[in-house]
Amino acid sequence: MWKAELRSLVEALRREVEERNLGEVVGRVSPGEAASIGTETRRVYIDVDFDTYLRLGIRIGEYLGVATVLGSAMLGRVVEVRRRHVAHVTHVQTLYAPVEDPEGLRTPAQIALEPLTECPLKEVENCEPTPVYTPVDPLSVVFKPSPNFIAKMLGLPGEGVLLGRLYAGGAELPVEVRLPERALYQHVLAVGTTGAGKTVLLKNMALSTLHEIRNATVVALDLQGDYLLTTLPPETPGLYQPLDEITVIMPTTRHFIDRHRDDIQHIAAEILGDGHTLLDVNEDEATKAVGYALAKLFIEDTYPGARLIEAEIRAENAEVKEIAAKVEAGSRVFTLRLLPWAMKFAETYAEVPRLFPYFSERVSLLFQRLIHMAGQEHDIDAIMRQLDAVAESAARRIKLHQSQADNFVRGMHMVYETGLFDVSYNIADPTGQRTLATFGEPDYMDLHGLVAVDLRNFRETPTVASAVVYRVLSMIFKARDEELQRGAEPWPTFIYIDEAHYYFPQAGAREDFNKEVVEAMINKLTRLGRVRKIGVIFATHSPADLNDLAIQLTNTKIAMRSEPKVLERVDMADYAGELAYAQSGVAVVKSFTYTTHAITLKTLPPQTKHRGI
Amino acid sequence: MAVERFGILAEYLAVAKKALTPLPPREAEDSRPYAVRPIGEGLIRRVEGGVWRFAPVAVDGSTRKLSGPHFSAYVVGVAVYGAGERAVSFIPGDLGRRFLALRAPRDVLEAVERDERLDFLIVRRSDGTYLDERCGCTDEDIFDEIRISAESAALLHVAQRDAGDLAVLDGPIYLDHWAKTRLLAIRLDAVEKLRKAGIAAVGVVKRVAKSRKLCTEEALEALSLSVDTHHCNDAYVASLAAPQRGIYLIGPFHLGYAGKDLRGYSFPDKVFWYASIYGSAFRVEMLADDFKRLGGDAEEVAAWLAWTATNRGAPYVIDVADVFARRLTAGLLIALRTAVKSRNISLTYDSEMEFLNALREYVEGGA
Repeated sequence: MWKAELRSLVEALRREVEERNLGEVVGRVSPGEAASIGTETRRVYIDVDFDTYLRLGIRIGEYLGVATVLGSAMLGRVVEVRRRHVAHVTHVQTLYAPVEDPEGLRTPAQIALEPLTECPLKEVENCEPTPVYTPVDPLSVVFKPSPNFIAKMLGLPGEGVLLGRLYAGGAELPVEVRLPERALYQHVLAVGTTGAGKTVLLKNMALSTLHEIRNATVVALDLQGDYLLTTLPPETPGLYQPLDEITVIMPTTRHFIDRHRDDIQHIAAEILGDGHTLLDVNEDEATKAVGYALAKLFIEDTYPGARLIEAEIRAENAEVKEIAAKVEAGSRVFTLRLLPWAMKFAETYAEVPRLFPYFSERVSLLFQRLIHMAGQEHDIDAIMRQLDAVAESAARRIKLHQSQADNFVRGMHMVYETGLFDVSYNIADPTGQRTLATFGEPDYMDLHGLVAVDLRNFRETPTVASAVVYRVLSMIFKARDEELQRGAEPWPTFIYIDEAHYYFPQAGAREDFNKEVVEAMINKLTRLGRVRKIGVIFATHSPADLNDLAIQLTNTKIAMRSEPKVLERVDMADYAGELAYAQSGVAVVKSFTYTTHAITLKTLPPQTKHRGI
Repeated sequence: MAVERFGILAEYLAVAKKALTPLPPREAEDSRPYAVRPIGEGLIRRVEGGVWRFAPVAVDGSTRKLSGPHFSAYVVGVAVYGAGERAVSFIPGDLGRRFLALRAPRDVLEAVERDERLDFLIVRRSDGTYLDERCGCTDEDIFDEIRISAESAALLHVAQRDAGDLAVLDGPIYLDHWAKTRLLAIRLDAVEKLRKAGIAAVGVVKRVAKSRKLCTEEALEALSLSVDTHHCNDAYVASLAAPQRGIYLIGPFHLGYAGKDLRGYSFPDKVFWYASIYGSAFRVEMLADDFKRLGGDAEEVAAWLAWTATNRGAPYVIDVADVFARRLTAGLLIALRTAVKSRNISLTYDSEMEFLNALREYVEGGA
């Protein structure tokens, strides 16, 4: 190649960068250093004059673009910035005076860049970026890339759930990082220490899921009541509006009813008016009054200072099915769809050994038969009354060993103690106990929008919380499965599970749990869920306690501030340096959808009210 | 640029057939008669340090020579530290482009002079005479010629920029050799333009073993020293005048020249100090007019330059500029030698040694 051609080639690179709006030219690849592209390491050094260095304030982790002499457009990350004073450059040492010469700062900055991805320069707009294979020549043009170029070269999808904005050089860039819908069906695991911003990330993702994915249902397992606040605005307005409607599955246990028996009676009397009590009205009115009271109690407990404007209660055969309440909280009015939830033993007993880890393997196999021995009545109170007789009969008729019989009796007592079965609201009247309201399970086909499973009352009882979760998730899976069997396209359902180790522990992490049951549930949700359009988003601060399967079966990992050991567990030890002391909200995402490498981002600030820590 | 154009130059040198006669050695320094008198009392002052007070522009020139039987090439590089957008500006570079004086047979000089591609060459002295076989000059004359010219050109650039109020030059403010009046005029013109721009010029003379400005009766008396003036130089007097431990300023002294030279040039009066840095010395000098204008700051400048002395015995700013200038000329000499050798032009033994020296300095970064 002739000199003139070479010169015009080098000069044309700058024009190309400017004409294609790839970014602002900041310098050239240093002729004084070797630019190395190898299989193991990739390093390119760039000389940037002092004024440009000052103006741009280039920082570690920041992205820079390179237009190479061989015609590639590359995106790289700054891994090192070398600054030297003139006194160092010249090896001049004063004997006595400490050098305070500010002029000596005017040296070029030398930047070491790790090239990440490349595209042909002339086809940047329509190319799928690849890892870097092309050598980089000295004098290649270096530029501060435009947001579009960065997004393009990182292969960031334009659609999907918004995770946050690209984070580089300690600052947020105006580049959105999204996770496409298909990635959610291959499931996500977020890890990070307390206060790293996991919950904010998950809540924001949930909002974005509802916003971006048509007909999406988000089911959030809510141990702390975080998702219940998604109807309220944050301190500063965000990108998304708070939800206008939320559905809450409210496990209503016998203990809860007992605790609030008088409250329910008083609230019901208020709504009935004219000095009437629940015993003075017909069955339907009484059931609805109980439903109203439950809603009011829930609102007082969850949204302090909020007002229940009106409530429409749907009840069938004394069962409170749903309370649709209009709630006013500050300047916000939203709809609360409250679904009191309890299990009917007669309908669910076959599942009991899979929901509760109390029974031995043998008793689990015989469980249905043992229940049948109690007779035709399968409500839990009837069973409990005949428990000893059943155990005796089983020992005699089916030669059940005494220890197994004891296990059955003990297990049933523990199940009964949960208070989750055959829950009703009764009042004693002169004729005896009068049942005014019962509680059951909702129509799982009819769950839309954000569905929070309120587990606040089970913070200290992980086994009970897990039983609720397994039942709800099984039934949601069943609903999607039925849609699939019918040949219909299942509705996209995304299950957000914060503190996932609480429900899906690892062997040894908790005493009373059934490994097979836990792993069967994870398998069902993740492996089988995919075709049923179920995506699971797990989050935990303690991946050591989270079941291995949950880690193996999540194809997207999001790591926030964490200890190196934690990152090692999720195969992200490479990012320990970046994440050990990361700011809250900073996350590294590794996903098969980002084809070339992991992406560092900063989550959006809370998009709805958030309590924080 | 340099490598390519050195190739063109080498083509001319390769066809030079006539060997050059060697130049005579320079005669002893012969400056005009001068008188030195102390200014005020308390001529020995200990420098105690203080804040990093000044941000001067520093100008330093470096020269090197490459010779063969048929030619001598004298390379100059000037570094200006602290005058522009970048820390250092250069000749050759953004301050000017002529940096190579060539002594060769007349026909070669005439040929290269006509070649527009070789616009970086100097083939005549400032009086217009060719640097040929009959130039009647010494190597030192040519070095002085190109260094003073290049440094003065650099100073003119400094004067045009908003570069503060102080310029420190490597070497004397002007040469007081009786035969260098043309160079004196060039230098004084540049210094005058600096003054008009509000910039005072200060010279730092590092090589003082041949200087005898303190060897006058009046100066020695003022310093209360009894020294045989026939066996005296400034370095010796400075070492006697100031304690060996510590940094001291000796002066100020006024230096005035008698009369005018043959062409009517007068040498303006100077004021100077000697800085004694734990026994080693350099001279700081400025025009007497600048001394008056700066008032008390004049001595503070001298003290600051002494206080910022480096391990090589020069003020920090001068040392920095010097390293850049030396690195520049080392690179130029290496490139020139490469071009010349590639045309099978033989070099003198001294030049090969000079080349090796330049190569070492270049690799070590010029320090």
